[in-house]
Amino acid sequence: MLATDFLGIHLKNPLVLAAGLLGTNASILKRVAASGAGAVTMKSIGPKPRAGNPNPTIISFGDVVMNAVGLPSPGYMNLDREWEGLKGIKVPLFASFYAGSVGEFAEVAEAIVPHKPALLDVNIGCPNTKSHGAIFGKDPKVAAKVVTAVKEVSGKIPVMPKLPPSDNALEVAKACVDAGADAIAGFNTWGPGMVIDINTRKKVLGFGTGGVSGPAIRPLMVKKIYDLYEAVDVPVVAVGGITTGRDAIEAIMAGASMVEIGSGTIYRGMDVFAKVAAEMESWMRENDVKSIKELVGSAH
Amino acid sequence: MPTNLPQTYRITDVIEQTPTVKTFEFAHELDFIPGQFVMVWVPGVDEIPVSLSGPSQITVKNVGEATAALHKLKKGNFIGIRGPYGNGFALPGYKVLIVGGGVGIAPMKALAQYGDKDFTSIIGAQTSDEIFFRNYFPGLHVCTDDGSEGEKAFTTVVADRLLGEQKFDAVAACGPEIMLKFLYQIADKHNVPMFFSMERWMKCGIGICGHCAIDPTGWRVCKDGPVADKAILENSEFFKYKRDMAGTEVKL
Repeated sequence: MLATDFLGIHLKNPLVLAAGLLGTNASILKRVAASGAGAVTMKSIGPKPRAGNPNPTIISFGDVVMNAVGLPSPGYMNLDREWEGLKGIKVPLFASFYAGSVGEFAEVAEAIVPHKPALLDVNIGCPNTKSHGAIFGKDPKVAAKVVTAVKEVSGKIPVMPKLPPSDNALEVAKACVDAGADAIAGFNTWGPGMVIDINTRKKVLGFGTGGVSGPAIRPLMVKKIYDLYEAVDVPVVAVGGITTGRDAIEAIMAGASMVEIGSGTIYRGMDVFAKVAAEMESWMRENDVKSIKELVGSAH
Repeated sequence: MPTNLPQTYRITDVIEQTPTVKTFEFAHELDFIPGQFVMVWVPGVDEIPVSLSGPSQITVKNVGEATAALHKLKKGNFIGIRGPYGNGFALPGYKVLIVGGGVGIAPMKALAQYGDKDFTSIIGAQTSDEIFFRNYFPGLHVCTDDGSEGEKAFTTVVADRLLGEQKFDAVAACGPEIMLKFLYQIADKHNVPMFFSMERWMKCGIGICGHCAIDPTGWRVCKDGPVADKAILENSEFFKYKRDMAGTEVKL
């Protein structure tokens, strides 16, 4: 009932592990795959080894999750063990990656493509670095250049930029689609925000600020996905605070063909995917809905 | 809803255990299982995982930037604490051999003090100056590399002897990975269940970033651990390699 096709990729359910969580190595990705995810995304692969930001890098309180992990990566040249380990993975594998220049995006993509991930998730949305991520996703022209450069080396692998939730996100999305993007994912974390410890008068996150996610931002995401669905004619992927079957169905009704879960793993554990899938199935049965495709954009 | 935000508490006491190890007491009591850890935030500097040596107490060796900054803090200063996190020691049977090496003595003190077992203890360090918490360990055997206190031997040599002489239900240990590597072989030889407190580079501390997940099982040191039993340790990356802050493999 939940099985669906996304750009020719067969998924047992439309629930994907979002980039950045539980994706640092092959062993943990395989564990997530075994806990019910329809597909899993590797943590963003970088152009060179990068340690990321000092701790604290992830905090949560109430319905808010904040992170400033800062794109740690061994670099594409140090991933042999992980690619080898991922060969036996049971669900489609998406590869997220970032870079520090348009040319470098092509360089990293070119190194990833021979390992045949099911999808290239282009990170132009991370707010937790000064030289990577969102700086490529806020200007439509720059974002389009990145997509063009990646498309030149991606072969048959679909290319999906993941955007920051900027005010001009629809404009950026359209520019990416014009440049050949096969799908658009929305959105990276919001803000960024800041938390100050009042006893010490110090910023809590090691980076000072951090992207905001978690159930609190879900309504913001749903609105923007709704608008994105009307703005572009490629499949849209929703990510942001989805923790239940109801949340996933809501995002799909807003226009998402697939949903990503990240912070949901904090609230409901690594098997959040199996739980959300069961809740979706139960709702679909009660409401006589036979397939995900029937639901996509059905709130419009 | 889970709160994973450092709470800042005043340091109520700083105890110099050795020239390189200090205990910090803070003004808050945690409900914890020995072997669990907290993420300790040195405000404005960094945050590191530290096993609890007591409900209001951490014991830290000065080994790097964050621990050096922590060692500069005085009574009355604030430290941030989130946790306790992880599994802690869940030991079978009654007669337990404790082995603590170096600053690994600290979490074993919590087990010796609060654990409800018949303990025999081995603690060791390079020299007598680096031995601490002596009074908390029942049936104590002290080892030093230079013979300045107790036996001039590695903890593992004494463990091998005691496991040969007496029947133990479990070995619980924390210390340098090289010590645990040999202790694994010894406990295995004597067919005694083992429970070792392990360490990997941590970021989130709550099992969602994946950075401390080990090969090949994806067992997360912060969430599923830090105490590993034989099933987790055997055929794993432990004792062979680890990953650094970037995730790059480093041979041990």
